[in-house]
Amino acid sequence: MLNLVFRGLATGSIYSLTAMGIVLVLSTTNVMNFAQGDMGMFLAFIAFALIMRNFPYPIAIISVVVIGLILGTLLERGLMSKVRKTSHLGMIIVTLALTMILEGLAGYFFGTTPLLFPPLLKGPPIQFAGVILDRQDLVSLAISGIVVLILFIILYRTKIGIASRSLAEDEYGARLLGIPIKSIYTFIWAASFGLAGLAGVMVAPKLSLEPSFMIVIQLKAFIAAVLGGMSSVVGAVVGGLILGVLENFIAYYIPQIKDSFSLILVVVVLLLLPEGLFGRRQARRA
Amino acid sequence: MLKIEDLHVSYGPIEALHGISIELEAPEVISILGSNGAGKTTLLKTISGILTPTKGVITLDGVVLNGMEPSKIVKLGVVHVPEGRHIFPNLTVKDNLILGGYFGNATQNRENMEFVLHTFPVLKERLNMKAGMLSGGELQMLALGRGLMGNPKLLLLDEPSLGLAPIITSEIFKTVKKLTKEKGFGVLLVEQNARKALDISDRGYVLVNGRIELSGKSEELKENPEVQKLYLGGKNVKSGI
Amino acid sequence: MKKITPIILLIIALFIPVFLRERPSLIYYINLSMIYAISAQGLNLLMGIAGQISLGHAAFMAIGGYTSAILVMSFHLPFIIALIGGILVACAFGVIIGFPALRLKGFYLAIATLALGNVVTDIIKRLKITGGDYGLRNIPPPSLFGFELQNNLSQFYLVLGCLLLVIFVTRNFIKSKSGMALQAMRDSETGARAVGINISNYKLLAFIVASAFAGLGGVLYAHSVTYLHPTNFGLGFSIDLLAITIIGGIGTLWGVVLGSFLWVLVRNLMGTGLEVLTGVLFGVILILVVLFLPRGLSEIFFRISNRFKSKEVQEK
Repeated sequence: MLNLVFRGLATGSIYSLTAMGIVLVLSTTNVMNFAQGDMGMFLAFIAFALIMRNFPYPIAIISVVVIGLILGTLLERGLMSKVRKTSHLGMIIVTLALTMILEGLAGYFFGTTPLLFPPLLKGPPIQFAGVILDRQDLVSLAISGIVVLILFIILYRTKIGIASRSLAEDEYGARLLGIPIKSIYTFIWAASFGLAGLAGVMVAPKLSLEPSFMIVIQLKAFIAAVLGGMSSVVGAVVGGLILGVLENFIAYYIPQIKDSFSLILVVVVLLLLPEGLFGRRQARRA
Repeated sequence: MLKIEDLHVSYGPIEALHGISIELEAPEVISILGSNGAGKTTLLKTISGILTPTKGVITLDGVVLNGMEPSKIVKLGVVHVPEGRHIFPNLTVKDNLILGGYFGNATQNRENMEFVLHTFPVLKERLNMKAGMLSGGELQMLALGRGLMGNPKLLLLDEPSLGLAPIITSEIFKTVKKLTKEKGFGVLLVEQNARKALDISDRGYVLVNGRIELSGKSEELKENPEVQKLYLGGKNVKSGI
Repeated sequence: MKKITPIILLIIALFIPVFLRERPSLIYYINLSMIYAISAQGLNLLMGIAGQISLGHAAFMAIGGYTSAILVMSFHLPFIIALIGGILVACAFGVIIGFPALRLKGFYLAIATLALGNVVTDIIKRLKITGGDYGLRNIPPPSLFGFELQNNLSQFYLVLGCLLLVIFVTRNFIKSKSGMALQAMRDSETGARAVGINISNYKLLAFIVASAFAGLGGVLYAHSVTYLHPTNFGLGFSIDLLAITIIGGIGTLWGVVLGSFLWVLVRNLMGTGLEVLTGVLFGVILILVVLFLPRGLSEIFFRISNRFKSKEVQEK
């Protein structure tokens, strides 16, 4: 029982990492970023290539996060800032195009045969109080925790973070205050692709590394975002964890519906509780 | 200080302002009167850089403002407190104030914050509340306070009395007048409640269909029969909306 | 002039197979392009006219294709009945999905259609009659009035006929009262509501017509490719259909045809070993279209034909 909960939390933490990136972009720019998962996939391949060349694990992780930050900056500066002027749908289409490009490039450079990504911590599963957990699960739980904390501090305690949240609420109001909207958008895309790198490296050891391995995770992350109400990063994390735990329980007790469970859940939630599972209403617009 | 010359502004093919000239010398309070759709808000939006004029020049201390990014204009000290306030409801009162001082350095912001909380003590009590929970009057104080955080040379106030009880409106207007004297900035006040606006302003302009029909000292405007009929509603006006 | 052009194009189209007699595989690709165009036209109608996004459009193709294949293979019904059956079942699912979609917008609608599309392929994977994970093989070719349309050539005319029908229906739909109402709604929902347009009915109608087109495309796909597998109709294919629509020109009548031909061309002309780069190329084209051709490839044709027209005027 407790075991199911913990395994669920571990799975959920993986959903959360991707969901945070999606919500970060969605809540500030109103763009549904389909490339979040595939950016993680692509960066995981780069991390894999570095590790195979005997770079230490931490260096590989830091490198891909930095590459993610750079790619995010380039995307906003080079593409999104231009498309934003013409059409909103255009920005979403660009993220779809990115998935095609990233999957194609990954397939071309690294092949489509699944690769085995070495776990961050080797060794037998850890046991405590009747709970058995893979070391990798502990790592992803810990990293998710740290990331949430860092993101929380940035979003709630720094000027640029507060400005990002204001942009999500009222872009006109933010413009009148002179908040440099372009820099904020760049910050958002960079941060979300940095997160994508982290997510990719966390997921890869649990699944096998291939160009399409993040698609399922991304779908689950979307669902986690919906469960969390789609407006706050914290909500996304909680949504991810809840989804992970629910899925583990369903897989254990009603394995017949485990594939479709999350999909049906999200449709039901969308229809009955469009504000997310916590249903906490947003403060009214002033 | 602020000089607007022959300003034309269009929305697509439709021209909203047909050649407007206004001057303001701080610490002066100027009211812009006019009915709905006269172009008052358009004027303020153009000064703060949200809209670009098709013709004409806006200068602040000799610096040309039109064509500048809104963020640059704010840095120069033109702060726009918009109609409907545009407070961020899910951010705390404190975060809203912090954003008002986005460009200031830490010391400056700390001093400004103290000043704002001293001027509007009620905000101090609500500092960590979500701004969406505030009452209408408190929201307007927050909007003003947020504007003050930006070290304004010129404050653009759009309909500050909107949705407020008459007593609160009077209080806020009194504060504005007092702040102008204390801090020495200029105020361009757009207001439906013409009587209250003229009470605190030094001069006024009457805007009709995108043109200035009348201008002059506030006392003179108050006595003008046309203004009385159209905007003051005769002698016995109920203030507030 | 305006009336003659389509007729000339139609005559050329009718003779294409005659020129390509020696290259039946080319005709197969042409057929495939037209089938994609038929399906994508549904999405075009939904997105371009009604302003609703769908990320599960391929699932409706699957529904149409599987229904028809099963009706022919397991129930031994004639193809024409199976065709109609496939379309009707797809429509029925369109209603089922359309109803919840009426309450959702933007991101929420995208997620809901994405999820429902996945549910459909999951169900197909689990059922016995659909061949489950194994897929359906050896689906018989279409037959009409007792003639079996065995080869690509004969199928060409069937598919072309269906495509023209779909375009004709779309054209009339755009000009009809419902089409006008939907376009009004796309541009301003509150505005449309204010003048008393009942949005829900029209949205639902758009979903049903879009599902019917996808269903028809699916039926033709099943019987000309002769093989169905649930994973072929997942998110990837839905995104491809969306890309076809955007690249061709969203909201235009013929754009999807251009988009489909380009897609099949890119996919099959890449050299061996470079197939994986198809996505890269298509993705880049998609971005270029978003940046420079908001009305898609059909914009190029508009510009060319406008140039011709202005020349004609000058010559006169």
